[in-house]
Amino acid sequence: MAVTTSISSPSLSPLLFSKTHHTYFPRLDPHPNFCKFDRCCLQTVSSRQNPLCLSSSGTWVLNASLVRAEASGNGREPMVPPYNVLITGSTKGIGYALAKEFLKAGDNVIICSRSAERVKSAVQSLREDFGEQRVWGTTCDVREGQDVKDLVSFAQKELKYIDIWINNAGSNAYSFKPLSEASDEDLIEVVTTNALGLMLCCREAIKMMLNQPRGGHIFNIDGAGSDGRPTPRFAAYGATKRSAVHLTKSLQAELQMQDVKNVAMHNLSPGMVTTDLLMSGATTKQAKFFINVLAEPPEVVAEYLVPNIRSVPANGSMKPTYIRFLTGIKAYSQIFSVKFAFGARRNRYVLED
Amino acid sequence: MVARLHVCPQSLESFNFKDYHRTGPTVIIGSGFRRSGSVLPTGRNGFCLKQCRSFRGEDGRDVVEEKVAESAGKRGNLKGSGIWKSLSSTVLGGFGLRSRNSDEYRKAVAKLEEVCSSAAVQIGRYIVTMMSTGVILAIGFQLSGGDSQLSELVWYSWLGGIIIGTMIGANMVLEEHCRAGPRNVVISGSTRGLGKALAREFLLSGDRVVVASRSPESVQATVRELEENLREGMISAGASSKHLAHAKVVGIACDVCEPGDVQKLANFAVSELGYIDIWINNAGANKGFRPLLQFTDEDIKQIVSTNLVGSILCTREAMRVMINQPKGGHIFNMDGAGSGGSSTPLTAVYGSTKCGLRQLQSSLLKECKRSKVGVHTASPGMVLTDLLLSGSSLKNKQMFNFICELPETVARTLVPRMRVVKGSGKAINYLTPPRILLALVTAWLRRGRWFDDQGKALYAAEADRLRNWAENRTRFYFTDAMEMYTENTWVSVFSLSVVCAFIILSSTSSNFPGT
Repeated sequence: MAVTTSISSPSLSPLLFSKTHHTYFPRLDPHPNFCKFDRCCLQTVSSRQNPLCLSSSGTWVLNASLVRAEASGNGREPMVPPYNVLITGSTKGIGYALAKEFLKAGDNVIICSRSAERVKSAVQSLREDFGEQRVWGTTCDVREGQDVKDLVSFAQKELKYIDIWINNAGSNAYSFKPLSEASDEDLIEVVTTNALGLMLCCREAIKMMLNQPRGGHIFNIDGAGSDGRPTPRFAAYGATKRSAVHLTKSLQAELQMQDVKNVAMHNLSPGMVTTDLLMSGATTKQAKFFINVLAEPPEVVAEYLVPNIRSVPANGSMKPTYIRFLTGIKAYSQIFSVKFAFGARRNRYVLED
Repeated sequence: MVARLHVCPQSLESFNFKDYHRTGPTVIIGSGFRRSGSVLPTGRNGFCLKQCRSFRGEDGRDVVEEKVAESAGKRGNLKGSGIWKSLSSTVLGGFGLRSRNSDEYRKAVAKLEEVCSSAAVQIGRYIVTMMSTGVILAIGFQLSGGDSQLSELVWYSWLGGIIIGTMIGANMVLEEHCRAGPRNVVISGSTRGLGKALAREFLLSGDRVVVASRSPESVQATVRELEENLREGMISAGASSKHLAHAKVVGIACDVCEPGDVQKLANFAVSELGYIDIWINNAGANKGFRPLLQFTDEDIKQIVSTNLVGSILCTREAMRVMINQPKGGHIFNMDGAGSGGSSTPLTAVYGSTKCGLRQLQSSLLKECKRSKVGVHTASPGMVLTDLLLSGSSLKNKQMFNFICELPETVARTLVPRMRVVKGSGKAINYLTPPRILLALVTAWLRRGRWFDDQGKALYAAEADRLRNWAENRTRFYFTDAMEMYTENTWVSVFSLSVVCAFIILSSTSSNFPGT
């Protein structure tokens, strides 16, 4: 599962996200024993209707500490499900799908986004499916320092602590143009959301998790350009995503330097997802081909990513990871299958001519 | 096949290649800088003149080139003797005064080191290129297996390679002089540090410069100061100040993160200068070295908006102006720590913005493929400016001694390269591998170069530096052109290896039918 193949084909579209050049710790397989444990807890949680978060998590800590005594070697409270998850920019697209998947797995989720009404409707529809006391929502513009601080205090009020913080909020202003034609507002929005917002969120998340007995894990979502492949037509977006991966790397080094043991930074690569962000760029023939071949709907991606994300705190390791949905092998096999199976995936999402 | 190879040496019968070879490398390796400086360039100029005439028949050009070649020879001599004089004076003066005056001693060491470094770089380059040609030559002989006809071929090809390489190199130097007209340059964030040094260097190269920065007062002060420098430069240059006749400096306040301001800057530059040749995105911010947690919202916001938003907006505005210019233009983005992708703890925000700029550069390179706009990066290495020094610890400063440079030194290396840049996607670096090697080799000399044990700055204030520097400047005017010239000797290595491959192929194919 820990695939780190390198793609070097120049024919691959720049839209292809999978990271290859940087060397990271290969992702560890979930502990075999723990898989079972995971499943059993899933059943129990789903059998309980409307569980009270505080008391239930308290009992879980007790139970789990018996099961996984070996993980709590360094005096830190072991991190056991259900996890408290915070996802930024999670009222649509990947963020929403991730939130849904975490809820399915029995975790508690805080969602947020810029628009109050989208938060309201998203919380409403999630509560219909998963019950009242499992999901909370608030408005937060990640570009504003105060908003992010408010988000943290909101999370502390509702859930006391956060185990998994996913920095998902991102924007490309839904425009794919050469830089010389891009507008001021678009460029500023892209950079401030993707770069500034991410930095503010990372800072607040680290600050919050340093004081948590359970520690925490921060996941930054990468994107096109984070592997250093050129991203013409969305140069500003690519630049911010490359800087996001670099930020993760620098912060990992920083945390290590400061000898922080309870906070870990990770990268998360969703590959190509059929959200508004990607589909607004489906204008050229090449882009359409790659979207049809490689892109997946957010639900599919989330279904793959969430168990992998959950396995990170579950196996107790604080090593940095890089979780990828679209690995090199996968991308290649899909491209070849299209070539040989005469267009099995043709015209899947957008019409090619 | 053999006949084709013979064509080249026949046209250059006047050169006895064996003699040339014997004198060439031995002179260089044996006796050092002075003779290599004087002997080789004249030989090369001979080649280049011949070639240039046969390539272009314009009479006017020829005269210019001849003049340049002459001056090249003179400069070579002049430089060589200048270096020897200063070398001996420092050796005599410096070590004699050693016990009496530590201050003068330090100055002398710095001077000696400067002289040695420039000489060592030149010698090193020649040695390395010559050695690599020698290696290929040896391989060629090995392959020819003692066959006299084939070894003759190897000699011819080696000579051919050297000639082609020097011709290309010389062509570059000459072209630089042909295109010596003033350039119009816009530099953002140029009221302090490296930006100011770059502006000054461009100005003294005879270019027209637009200075921009956030505060109108500092822009005004900088413009006044640079005008003063220009006047001094014209006086000290005396009769040969013709190339400064068009130089001028203007300034406007501009906050690079404000789209309106950036547009104003571009319009101002166009209305003042007519067109823009070179646009340098130099404005950058870093708020000291500390963990991310200790950065305030405002700090992060300023760094991101200056480094990333500012550079993106400026680049776009510059592209818009340059796309419509018949001559196109060149945009430079400044590299910084983190550009290469290595992690930058304690400056996470700054590093990730600079890393993002690298990505921007590669994307723009694709977008601008068909236009006349060139996007480049310039890497100044480590420069003793506020950006680096703010919040640096004592330990950092000890480290700075080894690898840091004054902004003027860096600007003097970067500017000539920026002025002659061609195409797109070039990287102009100050800290090249030879320079790093030199810094490591001379580390013991550099211990107290900029900061003493207490971290107190030892280098002179900007004004004093400039006074000394103005004198040096005229003397070393040609050094950078010469450096570029030797870099192109590598072409000879390449062409020679191609010829070797050709010989291998031809010898094997001629053997096969026999067997």
